[in-house]
Amino acid sequence: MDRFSYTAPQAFIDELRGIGEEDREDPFKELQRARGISRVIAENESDYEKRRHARDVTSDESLSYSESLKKAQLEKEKSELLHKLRTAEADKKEEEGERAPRKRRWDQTPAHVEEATPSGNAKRRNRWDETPRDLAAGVAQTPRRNRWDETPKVAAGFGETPKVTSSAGFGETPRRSRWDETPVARAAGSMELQQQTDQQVAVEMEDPRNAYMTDDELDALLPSSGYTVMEVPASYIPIRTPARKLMATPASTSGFHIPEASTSAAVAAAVGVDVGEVPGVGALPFFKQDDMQHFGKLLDGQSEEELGAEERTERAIMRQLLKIKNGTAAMRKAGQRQLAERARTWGASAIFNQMLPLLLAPSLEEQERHVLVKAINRVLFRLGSLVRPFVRRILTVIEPMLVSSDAYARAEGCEVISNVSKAAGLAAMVATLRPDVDHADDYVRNTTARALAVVASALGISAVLPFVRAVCASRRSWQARHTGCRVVQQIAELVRAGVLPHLRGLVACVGAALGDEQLRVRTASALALAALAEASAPYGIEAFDDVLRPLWAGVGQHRGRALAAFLKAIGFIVPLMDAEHAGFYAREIVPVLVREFATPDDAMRTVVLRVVSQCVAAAGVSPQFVRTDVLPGFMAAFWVRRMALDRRSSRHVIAATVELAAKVGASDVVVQLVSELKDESEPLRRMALTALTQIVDAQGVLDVDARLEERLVDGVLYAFQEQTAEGDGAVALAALGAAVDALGLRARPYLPQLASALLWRLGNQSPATRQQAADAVARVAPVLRKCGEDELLARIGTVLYECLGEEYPEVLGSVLGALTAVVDVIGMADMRPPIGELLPRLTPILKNRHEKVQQHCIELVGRIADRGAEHVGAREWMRSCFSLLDLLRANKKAIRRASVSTFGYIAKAIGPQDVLATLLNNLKVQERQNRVCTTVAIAIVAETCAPFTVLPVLLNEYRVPELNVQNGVLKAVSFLFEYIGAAGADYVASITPLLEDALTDRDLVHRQQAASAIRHLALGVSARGCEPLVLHLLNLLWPNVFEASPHAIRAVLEAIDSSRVCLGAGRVLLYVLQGLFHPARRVREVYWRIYNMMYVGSQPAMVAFYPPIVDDPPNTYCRHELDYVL
Amino acid sequence: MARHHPDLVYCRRMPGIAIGRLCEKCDGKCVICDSLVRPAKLVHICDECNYGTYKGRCIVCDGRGISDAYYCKECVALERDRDGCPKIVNLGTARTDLFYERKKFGFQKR
Repeated sequence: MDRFSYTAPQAFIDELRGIGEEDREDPFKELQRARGISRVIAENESDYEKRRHARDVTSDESLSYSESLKKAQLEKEKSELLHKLRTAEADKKEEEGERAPRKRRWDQTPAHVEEATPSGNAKRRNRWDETPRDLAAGVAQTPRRNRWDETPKVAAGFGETPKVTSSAGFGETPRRSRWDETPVARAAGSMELQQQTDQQVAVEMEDPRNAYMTDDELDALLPSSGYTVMEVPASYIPIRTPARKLMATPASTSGFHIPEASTSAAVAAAVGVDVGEVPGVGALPFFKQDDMQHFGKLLDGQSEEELGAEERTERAIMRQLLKIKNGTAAMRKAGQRQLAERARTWGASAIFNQMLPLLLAPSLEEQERHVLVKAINRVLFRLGSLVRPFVRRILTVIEPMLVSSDAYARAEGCEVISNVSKAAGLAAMVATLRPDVDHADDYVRNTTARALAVVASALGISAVLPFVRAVCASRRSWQARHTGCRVVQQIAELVRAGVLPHLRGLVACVGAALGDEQLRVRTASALALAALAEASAPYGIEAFDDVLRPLWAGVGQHRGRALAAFLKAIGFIVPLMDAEHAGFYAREIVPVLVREFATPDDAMRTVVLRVVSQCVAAAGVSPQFVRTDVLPGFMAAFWVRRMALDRRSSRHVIAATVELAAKVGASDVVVQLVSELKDESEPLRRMALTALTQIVDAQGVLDVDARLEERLVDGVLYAFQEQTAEGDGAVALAALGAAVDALGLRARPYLPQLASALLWRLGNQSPATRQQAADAVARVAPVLRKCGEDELLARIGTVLYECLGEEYPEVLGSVLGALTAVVDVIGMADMRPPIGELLPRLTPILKNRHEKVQQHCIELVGRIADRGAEHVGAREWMRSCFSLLDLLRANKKAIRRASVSTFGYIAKAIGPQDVLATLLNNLKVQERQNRVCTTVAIAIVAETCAPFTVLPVLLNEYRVPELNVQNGVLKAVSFLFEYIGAAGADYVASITPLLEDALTDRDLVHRQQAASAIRHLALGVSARGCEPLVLHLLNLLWPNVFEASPHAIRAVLEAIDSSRVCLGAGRVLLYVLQGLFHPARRVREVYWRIYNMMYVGSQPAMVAFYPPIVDDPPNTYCRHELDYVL
Repeated sequence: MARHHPDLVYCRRMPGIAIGRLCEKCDGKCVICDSLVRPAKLVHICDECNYGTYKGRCIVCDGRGISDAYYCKECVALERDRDGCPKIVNLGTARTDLFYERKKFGFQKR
């Protein structure tokens, strides 16, 4: 018979097998490129973040601390000198009347390339800055080895990356950033020719026509008899690296000629894209051009046997890294595990020397970085202190993540650095970070400060504090003091309330810098104080006593950004003060704030808004003062259309407004806001709606008079109706709901108008409008009921019922939600249309695939089953049961939860037998999630209909000789005992035979499930007189302590722990004593684990059961009780 | 949650007077063993975990908190409620992996 089978399209299967596809590039790439999305990190960086490329990542493990300090010092001096030279030159040019050249390296004339350091004070050693030392070699070679230089280390005359070999045919790479370009040093005259010949050699070598013949080809050519394959002479050493091959071959060309496009294409094909399967790794989803640079070795076809141990390790690591970076999820997992497990055998240097360059690759994508960083984390954990020599390089690679715009990247960076510091120790970290503390480049100092803060949070602030104090007090360079302040600021932001014990010390660190000669240091110091005050609120004002005066003076002396910092500091210290002082400072600072209301600077405005909300909230400030001095200016300055356009500033304005309302009372602010509700600009209306929602929610509308109340409802309704479809409907909805809720009975006069508006909108043509209306109904239904508008509710209910034919799933979901709300408030009996009619209409909707529909529908059905099951016939409920089974497959957990509890309600209504039969049948399905949900449902049915109705059926079902069914039954038993708790005492005896059988089964999962059942059972029945039975089960359970599977051993240990609670620690101790001193380590390990578990749980109870140790003649072990006391 | 994701880390500092909250998704679960039944004892978290924007957040997943968190009766019997602040302090690989996976395919708005 012909059977239908559903399977994935062939193309997908092929793709999984790794065959067929010509182009192994990521299929999503094109799509993303079209949308303008790029996940390559280097392409999405801001200019500031790009500065990381200038950092030195040489492997300078050999440098001692003093040497690296000296080096840093030299670099600093050099950059200062260059800076001076540049400024002098600029001055000279200005004097000549010429406009000073922009300080960008591309704008410089080649004449002074040497001095060309980019941007401001930066020193940025990079290869563009240095003159090529070895011109004869052809390529500009910098002494510094960084990733750009890495590829063909040996190939003196060879271009850079494999890409470059075919400049003519391969030039049109889609992505051409400056990083891709070869360093063409025009100064060298013979360069071009040299390069051409080199390229040609490369092409010839890689040309398939020049390649060696393979064994297969030779077999096909030569007759099989009469020839023998010669042994390779023992002395022969093959040349493995292609670069060396190039060097070995004499240049066979005579003169210049243009490389042919076709051959270069062939090279590209051979080298780059067409890597089907990497030996030892398998088929990869993709293999990028750049991967060739790092993983090329794996493809050279060498067999492992003839390699040395070191090289074999290198390749093994390479394979794992390739799996991690490019592999599928399963490959990645395997690679991670391998790498972590063998990290110590392979050694830190072998691993990091390969891993760190990968993290610097120009084509690295965010996800690749994520998996590699994860690999670093795991390796670090295994390597421990062995990482010490690599701290510097790891930090250089990871630090840029700390300033990333992506919060996840920042969190990952923090995690790695804290792991490094735990592994390497404080001394190593400080020694590594010290040279960068007064680095000339601001970017480096910023990342260093952040890294130091992470170190402080990982190793304790008290450990790092002396170093930070020394940095802040540095007399030699203002950069160090600046960094010190930043470190303190970052520490405060990172550990938050954790700064409290060290507050005095930290404030003392930065306090002195308030009077620094450098403006930037003063600003940073004020910002650090602000962060400290914010972190320690509401405690710790004593620590700030000494800095208050200089801060206050600073507010008068500074302008612009510095003023913002000082204001911020004062603003955050004010909430720490007692009422009297807070009032004084707040009153004093308000004139400055009001003056700054008009500032055009975004940063200043943000600070002003934060400070306003802080100061207004302070206890000593009178409402009258705020009403007269702050409110009018505030409203005029900030409640304007422009502020609403930017999301961040609008959020600050809203927060400040809510604070103001809390001080002066709702009505004073609401009266100002209602006029904005009818503004033409939608963003401003939304901002007003959000503020109103928060104010009304927090304070209610008791002080709003009748006139204002009318304006409020009118305005909110207007804004609700005027909202555009594409906006976020939740804002207007929340405001409407909040207003109507707060008004309560006072809302009654407005309800008919509201209801008619909603009813009309429910029939609107636009789906968005219908959805908003349905959502609004759900929101206001309780108030309608409260005001006694049952008539209206019933009418709305009928209209909603008629809307159930809705074709847009989003809208249908909202309609169902609204119906649920109406049914909720009106009650099952009074519902129109009657429940008996409503439910049959819902059953088909349960089959809908849309998540929102499913969720709202199952909620409604559950509600009906819970409260009004008698309105519907048993057959209808059974029909719903079958639809519910499908919902157990839903992705969303809330849906699955709702449907299992609905099973319980239905079982309660129509008796457990039929429902149970349906559920038990469902245990035979293949899907695990479905089965698990079914077992939960069975347990819930047992709980609602009393266990004795269900247990016999379960016991019977266990006899089915099918693994899934038996495990399902055991799982159901486990959930059952979890749910019924102490009531389980009556059922222990009846379930024991089943558990006995399961515990003695060969199948591991049986024993695991039985163990988890025992866990719940023992906890439930403790102190209920079931000890003999539990002891019996413990006897059967005990032999499983040597299980190796993580899930199984965990279940067994938990069951033992529960038995300890039920039986008392003494009993279990007697079991444990048997193995605590066993000769075999594996036995001792688990026994001690159990012992420790018991020790944590009930240590005192064990004392009485410790075995007596008899004295042997020279030693007395016995301690008499009197000895304890004396 | 940490029961099913072994890489999640509890805060474990000394709990204070702050009460832990749970979001809509985690609502009703025991914070230690994920059990949905028999909530027995209110969860207290430490001051640092209730600081600033963390105030009122879900202690399991950092979502918006809507209800108080509880230990279930079994965990109380096993004295798991006395082990320190149960707030999850790291993101966990499941979350970060998902984030980057989705970002890679451009499902997320930037």
